[in-house]
Amino acid sequence: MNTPTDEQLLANYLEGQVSGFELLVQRYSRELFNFLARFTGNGPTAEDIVQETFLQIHLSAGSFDQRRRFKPWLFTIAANKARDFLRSRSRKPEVPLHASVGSEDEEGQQFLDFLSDAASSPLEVLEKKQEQEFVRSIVDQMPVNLKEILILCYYHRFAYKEIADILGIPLGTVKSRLHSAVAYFGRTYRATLKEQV
Amino acid sequence: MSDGREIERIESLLLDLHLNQLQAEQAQEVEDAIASSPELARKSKVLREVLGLLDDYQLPEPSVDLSERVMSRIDEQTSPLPFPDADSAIPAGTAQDLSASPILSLRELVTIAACITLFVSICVPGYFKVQNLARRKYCGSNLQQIWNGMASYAQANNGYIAYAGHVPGGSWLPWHQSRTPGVRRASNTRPLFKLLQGQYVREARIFICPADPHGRPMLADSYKTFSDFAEPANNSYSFQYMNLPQGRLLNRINIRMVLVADRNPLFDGRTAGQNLSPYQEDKTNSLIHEKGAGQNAMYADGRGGWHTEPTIGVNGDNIYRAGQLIRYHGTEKPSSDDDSMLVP
Repeated sequence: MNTPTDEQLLANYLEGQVSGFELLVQRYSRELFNFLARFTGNGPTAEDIVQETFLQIHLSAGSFDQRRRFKPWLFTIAANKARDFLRSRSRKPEVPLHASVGSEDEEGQQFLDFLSDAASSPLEVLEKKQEQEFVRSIVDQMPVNLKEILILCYYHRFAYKEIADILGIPLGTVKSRLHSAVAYFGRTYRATLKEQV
Repeated sequence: MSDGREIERIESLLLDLHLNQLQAEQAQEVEDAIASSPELARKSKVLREVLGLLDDYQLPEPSVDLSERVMSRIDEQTSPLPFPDADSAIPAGTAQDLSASPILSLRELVTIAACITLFVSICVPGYFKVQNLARRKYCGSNLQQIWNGMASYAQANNGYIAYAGHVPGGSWLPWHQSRTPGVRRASNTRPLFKLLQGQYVREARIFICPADPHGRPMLADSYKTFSDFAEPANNSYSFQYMNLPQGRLLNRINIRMVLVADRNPLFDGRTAGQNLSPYQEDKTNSLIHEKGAGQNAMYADGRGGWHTEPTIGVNGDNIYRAGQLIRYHGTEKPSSDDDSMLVP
């Protein structure tokens, strides 16, 4: 028997089959939690937003354009809610796209140049556990507009086009922002590593 | 590599390669270039190592019952809210404590209470009356803007008013109120949503009547993704039933027909748990305004105003009912072309 698609499950739910929605919740709770835990940097908050997201899906299911794919829509709602949460906490200002990804003395350097020393023998400097904390802290502190794109692309493997739909930005912006995100991560990693040493 | 520009192009694709975002042919091209250039190979290796660091991000574990909690939350939201327990609403012993106060005598308390009552009876009704009148006015003003949007839409679409297709036998009820198996939803708010999506009405807040206690505007970043208002609370107004085989020309509609008005009293705009109680007579107004005082309405010729009765359609037709029906399941239709039937 074929596994029903997300869109079929939602359509079944709209016709009164509650089990369709339960299946969707089971199918995506974990993945959505992982996304939100990385996005907000906080497990309990991520759980709250998972609930808020599915509640919104439940309320808006009737107005979902069924020609579209369910999963990007789910992540759009989750990303909006996570962004609202972070905004309300005013934890981190967004970096405008035109902003340089490096410091002033690094202006003119290419994207890959930021990374050149970033991964130099990290295990020699830090224990594994320390390094996990280290990476987590850098991702958590990233500007929201870079972090969301890095998480969607690297951890959740969405295609660029889907990320553009989820975040409501042009395809070109997805690519340039992703380069900025990786450069930001590499540069911060390198700078923090030097401080640690 | 033929020149620096080509290396630059390949460099710009390195990240795409490591993120599996390239087509097979393009990926092969980049891999070939890496194999033939030590500089590209070095950069590719560094990039792979940096991305590899991201794998060290340790996620917290979600609660084992996360899915169950999501479903419980949804059940809570869709169940009628329980009334608070009367016994726990007023703390026990309050009256006794007051009467035992050593500061004021009973006579003084009665005098103060009488003064407060007098003050409240004179000022508060006046305040609420003014507030209600202001809300009615703004509610009517929003409706007028929706009408203007509708007229602009018709001008731009060969004279046809907003139309969102035909679902034979479809139900106009919000889907979570009507879960009849096999009955498809034929949202009657989709035509109104087209006005917002097409920017004939520029702001989502225009669709919220200030007197609507449950109204909240739809978020602007959802316009593109949705084909309808995200939830019933995003729209306070009801529109003439439009689940028809084809659209209607504005100039062919009887000018004494009401086309859009404050929300139909069959539907109170909350997200779930509404009581679709039938109304027995032609006196039930929209419930948006205080005690069902009346409703704003717009006619097909663009006239608008406040009405204290719903029987303002062609020949005294009730604008909210289909013919003389009193019980609704969502699949009812207007009884004729001139029958106003404004539904969610």
